[in-house]
Amino acid sequence: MSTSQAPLNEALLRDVLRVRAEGDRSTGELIDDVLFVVGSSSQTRGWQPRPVTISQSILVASAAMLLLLGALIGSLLVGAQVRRETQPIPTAVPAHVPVQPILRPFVGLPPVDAEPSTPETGELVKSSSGIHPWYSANVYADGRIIWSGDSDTGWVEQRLSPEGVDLVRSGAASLDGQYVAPLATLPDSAWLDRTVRAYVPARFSACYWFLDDYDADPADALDAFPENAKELFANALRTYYIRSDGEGTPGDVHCHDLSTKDARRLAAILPVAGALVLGENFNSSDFAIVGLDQIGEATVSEDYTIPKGTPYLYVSPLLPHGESIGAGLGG
Amino acid sequence: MTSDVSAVGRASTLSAHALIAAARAGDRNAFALLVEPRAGHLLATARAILGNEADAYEAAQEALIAAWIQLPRLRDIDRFDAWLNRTLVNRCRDALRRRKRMTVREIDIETATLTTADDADAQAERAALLAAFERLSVDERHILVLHHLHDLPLAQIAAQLGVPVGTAKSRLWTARRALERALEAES
Repeated sequence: MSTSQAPLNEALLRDVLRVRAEGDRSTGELIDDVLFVVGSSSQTRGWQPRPVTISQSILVASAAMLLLLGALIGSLLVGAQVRRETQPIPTAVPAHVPVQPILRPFVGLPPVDAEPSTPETGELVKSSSGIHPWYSANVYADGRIIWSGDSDTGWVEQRLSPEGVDLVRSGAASLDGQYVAPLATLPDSAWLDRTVRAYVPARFSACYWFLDDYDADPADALDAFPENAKELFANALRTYYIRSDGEGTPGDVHCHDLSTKDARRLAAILPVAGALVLGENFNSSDFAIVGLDQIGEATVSEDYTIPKGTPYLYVSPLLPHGESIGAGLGG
Repeated sequence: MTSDVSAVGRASTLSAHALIAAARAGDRNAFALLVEPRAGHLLATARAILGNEADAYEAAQEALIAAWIQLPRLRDIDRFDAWLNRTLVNRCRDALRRRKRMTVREIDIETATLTTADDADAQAERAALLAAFERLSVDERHILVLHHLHDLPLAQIAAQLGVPVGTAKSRLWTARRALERALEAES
């Protein structure tokens, strides 16, 4: 006997739910991803579940995913020189440009199903930053103009036509101007698509160093990371130093360019491993690693003062020409 | 036969207890063994609740990672499944909030390419049911999924939710009524 006189089509409901429950990704893949984040069983660092004082809750993990990739870095990297150490940036150009229906920009990691801006890399034609209604803008040979209103609102992109790119390249059209958006006064013929869409980065940079320690090689901070994070770095798209003074001396930062997927994994790994998330709001990008192998004993003062020499990491979206978005904002 | 089932049940429970204890102590292999038989259920539940593969995968992943982090704080290990399900439902709720903040409108191409009147009626009924389901809260979706997708009896639904059987029955009835009302609204 039924508990209600519901006119529900039971068979249809079951079928609808069955279809909704189908998916592309396997349970094995899910388990693998989770185990990768929590650390492989062969990891030598002895992990113990900690009573929570610093990073125990998944709320922190969620916050970290935003914090970690918040688009701000500050001026540390401004004017820096990049020395390529390992692999070049891949230059494959997809055959089509997807229409990305995300109109609202974001700060931090992109939505999980957002398609990245294409092509992944791009030749920078002209760049401008300063005090405008918008903050910074970059025009690429493929027609993209990628710009930001301010550091907290995320980056957006539009598409110029070849004519528009030529106007910028020749200097006939200036990126500077007190308009709501850069190049807003160009005619329609200069545009392939005026629609303002969120810029979805395809790559992120993860850079680390020892806080306030200018004598140490920042690459040595790698030792502070858990094994699964090291594995991500070992398979990075690119590994390099960023020199704050161009002299090639220690005291700078050591970086790895990661795919969005790996940046997302890193964001999940670090809080699990006990990294301390700094900052009290989601607009901070500060993300410190404090004694990953002794997180229970990590000492950080209540005002978040971090001891000199603490391994320190930030992660930032990359623009198509390989520059960190945070570096651009720092200008 | 009954005693065999009970024995299997006891062995399974004992095994789960041992795995939970080992996982709480930081044994990742035990954690893997613990969640492996549950991962498929979690993923399917998240997909059915959210209707989006990427969000569902992330919700299931976050729930399992949260389980690893928070396992030492689980006071009653007999409620592990209820606790894990609650964690998943919370992640699904977060995913829906995030999704609402985005201005994405997806068009179901298959729905838009109907060929016959019968197809049209069937598709319309299906679309209405889907739309009605989307109007429900995450908790309402969850209990409907447990009953109509996973075919769990009330006792198991109650165990998954961590509530008495009577409460589970009441919640299921309420969720069905909510779906009926939503269906009327869609019609």
